[in-house]
Amino acid sequence: MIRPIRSQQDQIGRSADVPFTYDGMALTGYEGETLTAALLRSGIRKLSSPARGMFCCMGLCQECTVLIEGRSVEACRVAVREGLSVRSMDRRT
Amino acid sequence: MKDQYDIAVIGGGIMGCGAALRMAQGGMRPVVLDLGDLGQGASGVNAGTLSLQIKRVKLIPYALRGHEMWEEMGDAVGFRKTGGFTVAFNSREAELLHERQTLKAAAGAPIEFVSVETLRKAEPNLSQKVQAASFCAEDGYANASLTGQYYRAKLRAAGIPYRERCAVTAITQGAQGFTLETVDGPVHATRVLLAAGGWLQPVAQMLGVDLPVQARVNTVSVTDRMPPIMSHVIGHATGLLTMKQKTNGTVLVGGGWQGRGTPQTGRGNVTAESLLPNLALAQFAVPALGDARVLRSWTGFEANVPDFYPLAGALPGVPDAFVLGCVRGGYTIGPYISQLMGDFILGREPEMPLFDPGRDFEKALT
Amino acid sequence: MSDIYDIAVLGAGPAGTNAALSAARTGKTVLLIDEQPAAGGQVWRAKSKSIFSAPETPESRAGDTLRTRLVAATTQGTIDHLGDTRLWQVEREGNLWALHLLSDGKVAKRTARALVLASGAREFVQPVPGWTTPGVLGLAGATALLKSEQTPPGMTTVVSGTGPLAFYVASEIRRLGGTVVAVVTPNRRRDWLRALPAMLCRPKLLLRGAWWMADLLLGRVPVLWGHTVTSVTGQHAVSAVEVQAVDHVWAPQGAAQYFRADSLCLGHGLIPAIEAAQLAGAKIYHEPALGGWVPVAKTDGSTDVTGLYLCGDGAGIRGADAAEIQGTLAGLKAASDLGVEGLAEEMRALTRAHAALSRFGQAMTALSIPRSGMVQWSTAQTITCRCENLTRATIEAEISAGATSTNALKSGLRAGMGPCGGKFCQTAIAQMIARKTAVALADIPPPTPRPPLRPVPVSAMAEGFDYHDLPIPKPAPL
Repeated sequence: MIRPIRSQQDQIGRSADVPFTYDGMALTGYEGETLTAALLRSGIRKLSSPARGMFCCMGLCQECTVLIEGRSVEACRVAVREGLSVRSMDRRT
Repeated sequence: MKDQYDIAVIGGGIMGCGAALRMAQGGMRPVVLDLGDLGQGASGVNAGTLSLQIKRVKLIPYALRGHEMWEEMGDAVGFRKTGGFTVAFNSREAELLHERQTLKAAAGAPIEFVSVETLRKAEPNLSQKVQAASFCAEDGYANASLTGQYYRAKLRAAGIPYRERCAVTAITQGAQGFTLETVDGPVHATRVLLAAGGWLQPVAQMLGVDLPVQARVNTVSVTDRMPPIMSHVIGHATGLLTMKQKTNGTVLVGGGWQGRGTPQTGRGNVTAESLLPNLALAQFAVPALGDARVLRSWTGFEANVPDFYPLAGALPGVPDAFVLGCVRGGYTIGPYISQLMGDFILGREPEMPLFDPGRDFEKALT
Repeated sequence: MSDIYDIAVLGAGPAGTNAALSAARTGKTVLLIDEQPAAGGQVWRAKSKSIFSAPETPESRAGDTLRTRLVAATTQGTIDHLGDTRLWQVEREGNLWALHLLSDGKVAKRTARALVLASGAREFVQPVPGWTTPGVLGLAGATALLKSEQTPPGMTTVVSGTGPLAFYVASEIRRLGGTVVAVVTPNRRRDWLRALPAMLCRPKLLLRGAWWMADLLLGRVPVLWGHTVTSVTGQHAVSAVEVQAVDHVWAPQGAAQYFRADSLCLGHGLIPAIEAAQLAGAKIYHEPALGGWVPVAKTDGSTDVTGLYLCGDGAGIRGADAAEIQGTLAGLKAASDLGVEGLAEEMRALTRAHAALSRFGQAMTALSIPRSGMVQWSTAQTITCRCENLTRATIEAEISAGATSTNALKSGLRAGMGPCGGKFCQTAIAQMIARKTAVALADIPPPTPRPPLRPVPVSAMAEGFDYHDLPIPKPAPL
């Protein structure tokens, strides 16, 4: 198949994988990558109850809000670092 | 023939709508006009606190009736009788608390002083620094945002016409009654009730009356949803803080911190200078609030006259004109005093005395 | 730097960064505030720190150029750049602007004589059943993910929306190793033909678009012109996407098709982010050709508010190239209003360039101007206010009960009172009000804006509080 646009994914150099936890699950992500991207990579899209995930990817919709050290923060504005401990939120009324 | 209403009510908040409903019940034909949506003034933007502990001594009997009416309105206005605590963090505040709450209790409010231990059991998340507290089982809150929706439904059910986003720009009085110039054309009415809250002064001026109405610019803030961290309404001995957590988990923080602006310029503005200490004090009182985020802050105009008692009666110098507003604790007392006002205009004796707008404001009311 | 800056700029995208650079060039002291760690805005968003090498794209090159120019200025000390910093409140203090900032969990205040707002745009997504399902990203949102993380939004993706973004996102997903199951766009080829004269002004961009189309064709990726996504299936994650044809006003018609996919990128145009401008006192007006509600401003950025300037997509969706020019112009205008002389000729040239460059951007915006049939994409049970889980039926019932303004709906239902502050529901809500009350969209303004512009942790506000500093108020009348 002729492909004018070929995949360049293998040309991308990324930082090392570091461990972090999400709701107690041990996961890894590239150091410095956005938390939502790291979770996506691990197959985690549902970030809160009722089922929501990242949507606007720019810190506005607040649907990716997670709890880090008890404080709520937009996961799309958090960079993965070693030992990050993340909990999802339950937004059901 | 032009359509002539029995009375035009200027101001579609609790005062205006409550009075209109009562007057319609008594057989009159009112029309309600508001420069914005119904219930978007103080009625719709205050913190919703229903607390006898912050009412003036002489207004407590009115507030007690107000509380009863809010309870009757119930779910439609998000009413919750949570009970309320007022707290003091030092000896000066404790003294102030004791002095004032004693007087309010004597006036009939079911307020008692509680030990710090009792308070801690009831509100484990309150700061350890509390030194004294009072409690009133009758206290609670309603959802001020629902005021407009509530009264709109009531006016519709009663067949009372209303016009929203219909500012009154001029009023003339002739032999037939009043002609109100509005953005939607003239409105004719035999009588007129000014219930324009923070806007009472400019509206009264349309009739050549100078009411000494001032407007405080109170700030309210709301947080995002939190796990349960408080279950009663919380107040502060100085009045600088009110807090409540709603059933959806959001926390409403008030305390009368002043923003900037006047009703004439249309909008009050939140100032960071007020907002920061307001929220800081809230976190001081309930440290768990530190995990919350403030999502929104706004201001509302709270009108008053120099003696801080209501205006409720005939508008001085203008026959067939009435005024209702500037009630200290207007949200709590509004449903009741607006009913009294309706009765007064209907020519009935109101159940409790009203407050002559023509009085000398420099003298204390006897 | 100094206590009071001459000029503060909000937003380090193409417009804001250029405003800061041009202002600094005149010798004025400049503060540049931006909520991202690096400059570039949305369109030229920098890669995250986890990526240390990646093939270039036209956007990455443009962004790198912008960032290099900025670094030169910040290194010289002519611009103070506060990245990862969010503006949450803007106030007037006499004839100065007080800017209340949030960074790293702390609040701070800066003051400036002039304020240039370059807050850019966000996107409008027409609600469809299942659009809240995890795995559905906004189209512009997807570009943020693609640019910063160089990773596709899933394994198999349907890309759907109006305007050029759908094709851009599809091509980027393919370039980054993902699979595009289908490209679905309500636009027809004739909509694009109408844009052709403007596109001919930008032959490079036109060629790039042709390249994307060739790739999709040769890659046998279905491109469904005149179609839209009408529903998303999947309980906790996207599993399939339903698509229907639309007529010329974008009303769905005909049989439904289904595509299996684990992700959907969905978007229907960019809208100016106007909240900061409104808080600062700018008036707004409704202009679909510029993205909807737009603040009132001249080409040189000046507004009715003394010392307030607007530029870039936040002043109307005209695209990145026009934004660069307008930013440069606004920076010079602000400097000139502060007394710098000799800028008139350059400003005139920029004004001319802006008009020329806006043509392309506006032609792209025109492709996304909402059409009357879009409102049919939402069913009665479709969630419209995502934050508060309010369905279309609930909102329409409240409108029928007399809540005929966005403010009234906000009060009665909390529509727009949730964490996003109405950013993703108000356009659809205004459509509903217009439809039910026969009032023109131009007469249905968004609700009154309230601070904070972004959520602020209470802990940030409480920092440094000393109980002894509390004012002792005069006791309330007893």
